[in-house]
Amino acid sequence: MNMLDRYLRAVEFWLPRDQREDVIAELSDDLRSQIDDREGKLGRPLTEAELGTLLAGRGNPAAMAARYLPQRHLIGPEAYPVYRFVLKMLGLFYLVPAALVGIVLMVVNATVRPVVPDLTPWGLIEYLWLWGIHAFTIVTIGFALMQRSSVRERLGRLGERRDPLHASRFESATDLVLSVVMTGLGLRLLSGIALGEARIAPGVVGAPFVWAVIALYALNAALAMGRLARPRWTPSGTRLQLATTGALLLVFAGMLAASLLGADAVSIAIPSAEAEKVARLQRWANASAWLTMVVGVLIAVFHGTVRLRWLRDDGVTDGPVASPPARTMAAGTRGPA
Amino acid sequence: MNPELFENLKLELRRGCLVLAVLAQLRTEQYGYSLRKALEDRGMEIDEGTLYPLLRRLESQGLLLSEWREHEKRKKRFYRLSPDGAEMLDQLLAEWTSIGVSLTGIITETSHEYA
Repeated sequence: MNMLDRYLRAVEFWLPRDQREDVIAELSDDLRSQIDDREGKLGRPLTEAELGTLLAGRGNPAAMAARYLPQRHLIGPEAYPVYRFVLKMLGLFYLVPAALVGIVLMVVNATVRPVVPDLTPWGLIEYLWLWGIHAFTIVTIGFALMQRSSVRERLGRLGERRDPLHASRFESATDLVLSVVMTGLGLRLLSGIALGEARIAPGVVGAPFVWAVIALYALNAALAMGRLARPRWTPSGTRLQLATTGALLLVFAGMLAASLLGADAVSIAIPSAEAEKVARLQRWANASAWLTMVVGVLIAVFHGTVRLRWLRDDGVTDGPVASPPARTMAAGTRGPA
Repeated sequence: MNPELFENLKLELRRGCLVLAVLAQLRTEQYGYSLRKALEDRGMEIDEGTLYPLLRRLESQGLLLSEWREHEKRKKRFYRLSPDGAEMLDQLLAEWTSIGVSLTGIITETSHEYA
């Protein structure tokens, strides 16, 4: 097998089976034509070194084969800004609060009473590292899967909206109901909720978190009521909503971190069940509930940020309500870059 | 001036014209290498890693027709413009002319302002 055949074999290896024969036949003809051309000019056959130089000029076989394949991205340009935003939010609203909660727990352990006796600085670093890697991997895999599905198109259209100032009454009503339910649930939780023989109450570090949730959901309910009465987004209203949602995200992330570090924000007691089973149930219940809330509120923060950007880009102020812009907002110009 | 940046911008500028050059050149039948040489002789250099995937794409879009034939004792794939390709070429040439006029206007106008 000569050098030319070896090159063609190497290119063939990287090509999809159904295209190999066709592409290699054409590439082979092109290379042989070029060799004939060169040999005609020189008046003699090419030496091995000259042939090597000619093939090197064609580039790496894998790169040559790649030119024949459709361009693929793990995460494409339309989804990348959203992907970057989600990673940033995870770092800001999960890893930072988790680190703070861990530090506070260690300080309380050392100075007041051993809330989580097993927690060490190395344990906290290991926890943050593992959760960081897991979160990064899960988000990346999720976006890579989206890239291959129709969700990608929806992500690309995420920025499209006819009237960014309109606050949907349905969304405001849903927000109001959810906020009232969460405020009520928080108040009930403070005095303990009985479910059959199970009793759910704030855990070792839970009461301040629960109070924060109650206050923030009460504020959220007031904001939702305001939007029901006047269904328009204003820059100050959007900022206030975003601050409330962001604060909720921090609290939920703190509760999740506390639960996972071993200091339960909410405790579940079932007298007849074995202590180990109850502890396992409690860990799962805490982690699932807080994780769900972190993700839910993260999505709300994302929407709030995008909306705020729309308002800023359109130069909308808190003055009298203007008529909505007539133009349709195209993706790309309105995207959450 | 950054020569690498100039090369990149030049490449970008020429890339946009390649489809037009290939379609126009294929008004007469050619095989890959002869097409590449013909373009090169007219100052439109194109490497094979760009040309062959482009030919495949244009063929899959119905703008080119191809067939394998023996020529000079070797099997070669010959390409030519399809009827749809000819129609598309006319439209693209009209667009090209219009872009040329606009660009000339812009360049002349701004060069006066600059001077």
